[in-house]
Amino acid sequence: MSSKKQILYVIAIGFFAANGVTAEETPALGQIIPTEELAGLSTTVYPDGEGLPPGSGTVQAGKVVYEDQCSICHGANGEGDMSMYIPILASTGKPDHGFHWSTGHSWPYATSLFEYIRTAMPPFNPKELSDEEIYAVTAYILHMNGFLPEDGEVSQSTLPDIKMPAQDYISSKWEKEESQY
Amino acid sequence: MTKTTGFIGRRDFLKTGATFLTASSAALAATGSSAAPEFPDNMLYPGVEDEAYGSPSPYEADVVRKVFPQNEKSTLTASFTPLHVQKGIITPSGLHFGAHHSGVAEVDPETHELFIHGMTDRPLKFTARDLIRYPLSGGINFLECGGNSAPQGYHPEAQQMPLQYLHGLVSGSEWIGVPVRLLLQEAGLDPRAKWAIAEGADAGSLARSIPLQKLMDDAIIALYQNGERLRPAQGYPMRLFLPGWEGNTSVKWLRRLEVTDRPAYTREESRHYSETLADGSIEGFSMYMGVKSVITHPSAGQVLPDKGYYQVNGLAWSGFGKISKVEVSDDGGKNWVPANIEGPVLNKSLTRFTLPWHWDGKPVHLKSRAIDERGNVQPTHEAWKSRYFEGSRNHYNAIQTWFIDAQGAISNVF
Repeated sequence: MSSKKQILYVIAIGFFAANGVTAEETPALGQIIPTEELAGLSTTVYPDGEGLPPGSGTVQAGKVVYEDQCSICHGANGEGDMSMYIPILASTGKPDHGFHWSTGHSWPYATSLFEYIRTAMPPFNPKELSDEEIYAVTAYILHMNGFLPEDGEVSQSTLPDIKMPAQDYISSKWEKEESQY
Repeated sequence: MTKTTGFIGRRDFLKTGATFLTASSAALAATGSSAAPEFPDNMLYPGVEDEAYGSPSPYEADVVRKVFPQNEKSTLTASFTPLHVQKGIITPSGLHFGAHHSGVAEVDPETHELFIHGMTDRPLKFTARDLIRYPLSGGINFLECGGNSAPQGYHPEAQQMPLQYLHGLVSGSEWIGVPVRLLLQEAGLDPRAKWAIAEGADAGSLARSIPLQKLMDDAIIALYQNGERLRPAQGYPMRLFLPGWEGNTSVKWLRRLEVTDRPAYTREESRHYSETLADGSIEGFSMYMGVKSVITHPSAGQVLPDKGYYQVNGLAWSGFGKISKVEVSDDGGKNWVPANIEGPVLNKSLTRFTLPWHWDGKPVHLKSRAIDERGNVQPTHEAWKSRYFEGSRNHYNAIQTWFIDAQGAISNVF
């Protein structure tokens, strides 16, 4: 974004926030979302833990969930099968091939594991796991990657503290391109 | 026009035209004799009534997408546009490419709602019926999957696949909808807001973090595609549409825009739609689709039946703006000839190019190179590969080379 565009953008945001009026006429048909609908509407989880529900799960409990719900596709040790588009969940490090990354070594934040399992896994029966099961299986995937000991666990407060290695080697192309154009 | 290429200059064209006139005068004279063909049945019997919703000719039954199916373990599916039988910058909606992570969602427009909440003054919800009453805008834009042309980036050797599989995850449509800006203004933005999480109403709740700059610029909640309401596979009843950006960010079946001050690092932006750079690091949020072109006629999967005249046809596009120039080479990239840009030349849109060409029957390497209004030049395969780690496959936008052998067979080469 050019600096001129950026200034206009900031002015526009400030203007609308301050005055609550719109520059362009619309029928303004938005209905206020009732408070009871707002609670639980978002399933988004942020790297700092915002959006995580209360709860926790152990590696040991997660092994049971994993073997019951996940291993049939992702393999006994999270090895996946890229020929079937089944992502690799666990590895001992970065791969020597640009496509064969594990979740453990390519996702920068462990909180994303919780969010994705909660909303999308298992793929033919999503949104059925309990929060406790999701914490547990998240812990087990972290354990398979060597980020948690066998007697480890994660909870609403500790999951954001897990340091995923990809935090050190992921960058945003958009930020580079926005500064260029 | 250099003597070393087979592309036909204006003088050559006039010469060819003269030959053509002579031939057609002879044909006209021949119709004066009594050998006129009998009337076909369609000129003797009235046809049937038209259909309520028209279909292609049954003779065009092979003009279909190739569908990469779900398997018993993965719900990911992709459908590839038949670029090799398409001319023009609009893809018929039923032939538009698709890439669906959790199948095609069936959404009831009467119960579906779009929620805009988070860092807003007011959390608001809208139905499709509401949105249709808003000022609508949009345009003719391409949409390209971040994984289009992945076989070219992924495999060390050029794969012998037809054009449809190599580059068929790009399409062009007229997209019309409500500027997202208007809805965000109605909700009232917190001055600290910088991003919004866009989430779909599919089984996997596909979600992407979108910078607010884009949403306040040319983003729309698309309701119409090519004059009619969206097809289910394109997000009916509403999708986010972000012109020029990686297809995955134009979230289909849009259900929520959660306004926030930071990205969520959803699954899609953590790994699936990110690339491995040559130094082994990962590059995410690769939003813009780079400048690109491909010759669709002739292309792999087709055969040139004889030497002689051909019109080279192709498509060019850039996520950064308009196409300013396309060049074509038939000598492996030594000489480049400017192609004719067939209008309209639109912002972030497929752009058609053509060039009359004479094939002398000898083996040739045919390729095209696009340049956009920002001065971005489509890279060579080698230059593209040098930026990425071996096996990284998304955002492949390098020059495509077709090798035509002495028999007229066309293959994919690097």
